Amino acid sequence: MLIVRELRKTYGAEAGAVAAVRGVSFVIEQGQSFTLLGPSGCGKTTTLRCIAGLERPQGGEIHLDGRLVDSAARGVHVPPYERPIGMVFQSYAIWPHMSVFENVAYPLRVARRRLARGEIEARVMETLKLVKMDALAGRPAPQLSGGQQQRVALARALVSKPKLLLLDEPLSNLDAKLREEMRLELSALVRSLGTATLYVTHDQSEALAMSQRVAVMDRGAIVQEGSPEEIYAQPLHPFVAGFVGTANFFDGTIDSEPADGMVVVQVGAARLTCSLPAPAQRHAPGSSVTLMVRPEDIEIGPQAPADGANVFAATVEEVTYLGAALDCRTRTAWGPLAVRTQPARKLIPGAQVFVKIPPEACHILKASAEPPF
Amino acid sequence: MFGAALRELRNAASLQGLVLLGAGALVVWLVSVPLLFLLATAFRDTTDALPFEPGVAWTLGNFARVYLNPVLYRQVLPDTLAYTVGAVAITMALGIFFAWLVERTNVPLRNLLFIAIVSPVIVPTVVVAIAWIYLLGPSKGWVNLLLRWLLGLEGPGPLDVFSVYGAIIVQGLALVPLSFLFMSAAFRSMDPALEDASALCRARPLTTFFRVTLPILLPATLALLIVVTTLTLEGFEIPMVVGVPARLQILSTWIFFAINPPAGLPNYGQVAAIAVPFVLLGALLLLLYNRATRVAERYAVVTGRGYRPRRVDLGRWRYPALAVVLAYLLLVLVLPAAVMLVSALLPAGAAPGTAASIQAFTNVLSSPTTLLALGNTVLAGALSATIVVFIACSVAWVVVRTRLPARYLLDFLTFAPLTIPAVITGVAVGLLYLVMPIGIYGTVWILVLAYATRMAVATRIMRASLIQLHRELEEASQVSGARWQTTVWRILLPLLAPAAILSWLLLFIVSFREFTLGMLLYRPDNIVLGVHIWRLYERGSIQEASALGFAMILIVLAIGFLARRFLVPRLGEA
Amino acid sequence: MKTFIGLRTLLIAVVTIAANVAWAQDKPAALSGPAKDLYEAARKEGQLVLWGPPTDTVEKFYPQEFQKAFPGIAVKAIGDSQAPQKLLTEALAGVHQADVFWWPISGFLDLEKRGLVAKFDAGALAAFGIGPGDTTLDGRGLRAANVVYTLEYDTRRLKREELPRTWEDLLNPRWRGRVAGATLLMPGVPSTYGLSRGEQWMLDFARKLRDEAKVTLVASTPLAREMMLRGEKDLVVSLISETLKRKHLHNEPVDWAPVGPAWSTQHMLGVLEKSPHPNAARLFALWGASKEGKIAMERASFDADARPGAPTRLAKLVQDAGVEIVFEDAQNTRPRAGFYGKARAVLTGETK
Repeated sequence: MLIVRELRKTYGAEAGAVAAVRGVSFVIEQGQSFTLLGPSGCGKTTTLRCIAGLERPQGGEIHLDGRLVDSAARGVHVPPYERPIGMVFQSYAIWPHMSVFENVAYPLRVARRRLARGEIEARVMETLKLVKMDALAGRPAPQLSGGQQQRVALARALVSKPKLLLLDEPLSNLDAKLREEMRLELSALVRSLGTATLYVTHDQSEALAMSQRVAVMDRGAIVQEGSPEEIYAQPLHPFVAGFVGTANFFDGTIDSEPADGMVVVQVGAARLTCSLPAPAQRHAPGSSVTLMVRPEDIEIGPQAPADGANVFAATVEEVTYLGAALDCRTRTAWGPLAVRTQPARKLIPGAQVFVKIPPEACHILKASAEPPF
Repeated sequence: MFGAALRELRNAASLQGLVLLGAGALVVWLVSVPLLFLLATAFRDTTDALPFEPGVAWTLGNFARVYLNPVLYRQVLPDTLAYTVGAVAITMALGIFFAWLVERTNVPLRNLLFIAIVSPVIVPTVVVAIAWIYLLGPSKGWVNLLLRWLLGLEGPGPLDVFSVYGAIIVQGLALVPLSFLFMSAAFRSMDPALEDASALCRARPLTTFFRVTLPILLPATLALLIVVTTLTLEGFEIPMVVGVPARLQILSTWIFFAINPPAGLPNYGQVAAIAVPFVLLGALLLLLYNRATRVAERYAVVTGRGYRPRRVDLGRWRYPALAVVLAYLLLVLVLPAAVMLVSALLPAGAAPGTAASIQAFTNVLSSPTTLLALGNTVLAGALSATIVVFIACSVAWVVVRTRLPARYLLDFLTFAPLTIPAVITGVAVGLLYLVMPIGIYGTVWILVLAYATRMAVATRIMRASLIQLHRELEEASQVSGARWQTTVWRILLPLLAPAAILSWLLLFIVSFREFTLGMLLYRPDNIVLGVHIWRLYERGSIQEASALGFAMILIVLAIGFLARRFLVPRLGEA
Repeated sequence: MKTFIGLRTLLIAVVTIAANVAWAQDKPAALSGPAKDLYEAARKEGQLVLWGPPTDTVEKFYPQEFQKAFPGIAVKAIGDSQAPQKLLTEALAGVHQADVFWWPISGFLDLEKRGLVAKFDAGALAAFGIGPGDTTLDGRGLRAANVVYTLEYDTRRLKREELPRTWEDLLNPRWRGRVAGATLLMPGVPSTYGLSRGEQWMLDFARKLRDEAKVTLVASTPLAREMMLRGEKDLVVSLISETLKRKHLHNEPVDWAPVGPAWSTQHMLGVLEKSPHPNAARLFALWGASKEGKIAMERASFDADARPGAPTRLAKLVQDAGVEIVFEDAQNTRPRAGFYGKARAVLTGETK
């Protein structure tokens, strides 16, 4: 459905040029939901806007529904109004001088092939029903709440049955409770319609929850692309690991030859047994690596567990109660360790505990901290 | 960059390009002629000659005579500074205060106040001058008589309008309708949530006003400040009528005397030499404005959320505030109107006991010249206002929404005419169409084009308005499948309509008092109201001039009433 | 009820009737020779365009009286304070639409010295009874009327005897702060003295007018007159013909006093070189400068020739009143303009 190849976009004149997007490539299949995830300034919104046609890239190609819509080299740029897309803007961009109905009806009214009045009405009400706004069809736009505006924006984007749905930070302006509700509703709706969807967000939980594939971006390029599980559990770079979920990072040196998919890494005075990601990467003994451990994978308790691999003594420094979990900041002999566990544990600052890092939870990331470009 | 330019040219073939190029070309055509004429004339030796006569030499003498003249530095500049600062302070303070009261608070009688505050702008200064004599003449002025009686004073005074303070106050008050209208448009587009936040912090209305409202309105306020300052510097009607008796030596009176030399032809070269720095100053001010507002341009406000202007509750200050505005209206509208009425009904030289007669009204209102003048004024005013609003919207769009390098030049060109004295514009336009074989010289059509050069205020208003519209509102339209013209028609224009209509009305109403351009391009067939009143008055037909002035006040009140009645509901106001 | 009609009123009535009778003798039917030929030729052209200052004299009375005297020729009158530069601009652009020009001599000179004004031929001048004293600028300009400086007063409050006889008398403390005049006219008060007493004296006098007599400068004469009629001022610097207009045509309680030395601006009539209706133009100008024309115009508009020996009432009035008048001519107009400019600078406060 959407093919983006080596997309490049630069702002500004020669001297002070800012390369917002540097060679981004990805594919969205029919019916697939895809997220561009990254911090602000990483180029995800620019990429989205290029796909929408609101920006013209300087390099690369964009193919939409089998048609080339952007190519600087070939001088092709199909304007936004000729692309089979629907878009929900971060500000929702609901037109204040129209009612809910009129806002949603707009794409049908301005379409090249004009529909009959009855058809427009039917389609609009149908789409409003999908987003549960049919009862408020006559309401003037300025009287809508934030959540309602978001639904209207969605309806407007869907009413023309687009081939690709674009959403720019769709949930970031909602409060926490509404966000959770909408997350489910939105992904369910999109799935039921079978429309290819591209989300852009900085919220990693949204990205993981709502899409089938996630591409993490940093400074204009995609750092890692994969399923949510892959991104979360098998980050290839510290950036990804740190951005998606929380992580503990350690620098260490490889201390043994790989055996049974495990290898020993020397971190300070300690020796950790770590799993190697499959396919196993060749790490020679003596080479520097970065280790990553998720706080929720670490076991913690007053007594040392029987299984002795990766067990260390630690002191609890700080405890944060989160309701559903307990975040502990602990300190081992070889460095600080953030641990997430159940509240029932009843840990208090100053307590002497034992932590266990299961070898499978101990990931080796690429030695270089820089993403590969 | 070349590639970008080529791409832009290809875009230009579209309707969007044609419209924008058309607007740009129109601006260049309308503005560059007076501007170039001004710049050239400043270097021509026009002692006893017109600048374009054969045999006239190029010279720096004009600049020398003006800028090496000690009077300029000893008197003219200090006087001009004091006069301008004083008058501008009054104009800005009252305009902002009244606009805030009417648009953002629950002061009573808002609609009426709106119309009444704008109305005085229509009346030509010469007519108001008579009112000032009646009211504030030191010996027999009504206000002075009252004050003397109230305060038990003797002799002439205490107030004398023919003084420096009088001149400053009259000038300051004269532009209040403009500053009020301008700030009204700005207040109307503000996000009330920002003020709500302040109110929730328990800030009193005035605190909210100074700490939240004013800073947000910085782009609009700065734009207005620049316009008002330039108009005050350049306007010469009030200095001529009130300033000369007060022996005020300001730049515009200097220009006036250069145009009316003791003998011989007007010294346009000298006028141009005085005015050239105005243009440069204008360019500088515009640069500062652009710099200052680049940050404020991020205060995009109308995103579609929270577009509900809410009003500050003045509580027990409601009626005192109303009283202040009513006192102002009494001074600038009611009393002068009353004086005009009296002056129209009873000549000053009438013996006591003479019956009042409406003869002056019937004479002047049925005179064919008046009807012709009215028709010409309406035609020239309406057409030129339409042209200017079209230009203003297009240029605002180019400046705010595109990244064309030429856009700042275009913006400057729309602002420049403000800095060119009307005299120069009039002569330049007259000369241009005299020489060009289009045949509009001496007709009302030349007035349409001359009036259309006054595009500075409208472009400021439209630019400030457009800045406050989030670009995503337009982009949403594009991704919904609408081409540029559809987006403009269905989204942009409806949202810009309040500001556009306000601009149009302002331009239309102001054209009623337009006098200098009308006089310089005068032919009996293209006479306009401003010139007609001046001629009546010069001829000593004071009664008829007053009658016409009074009628004009009624006209503008009617226009204002109709506008507020029929336009306001459609603009969704409270 | 009055049974006694004032002697003065009777005298005026008699004079008016006599003048009318005299004028009636010079109806066009009596035209002969070159004058008649000119009329025929003008009739064929059928119209003319007259330019002058924006006054009733130019826009109303001249067309009215001319068309009474010479039916069949339409007069389009354009009163415009910018006339000299407009006509010059148009001429430079090759546009010639003006026929006749009525203007004070200084503005007239601006056109004449650029060769835009036509010369009248001697035969025509003679046919209309215009002698050498009535022409100037080498037969290109015809003397039409004069405006004479005066002081105008409110007859309800003052009597003519109380008024100053010379401009210097304005320095009397009785008039302090009570005199107003337009920016156009006020400088004319001291500047006339420049010709007789020199620049230094004149500037001193101007200073005294400003600082001691505290004269008020206003934008125009009607404004000054309003102030006077409202009681704000006592005297207005005005022109005799203006005062007479206000008195007789508008019934205002004003009158003029003889004050000297009074400057008298000379209004000229001329025909433009490239006039599109040359015969009509000449007919008009020659008529306007002729005795019949002058009398007719005075009766209608009160603008008249004030020079000694002119066939007008005004000439007689000023002579009888013994006013010392300095008449403008091509020689003294520029020097006087120089004094005028300097006096204006003093009065407006530009020069200390």
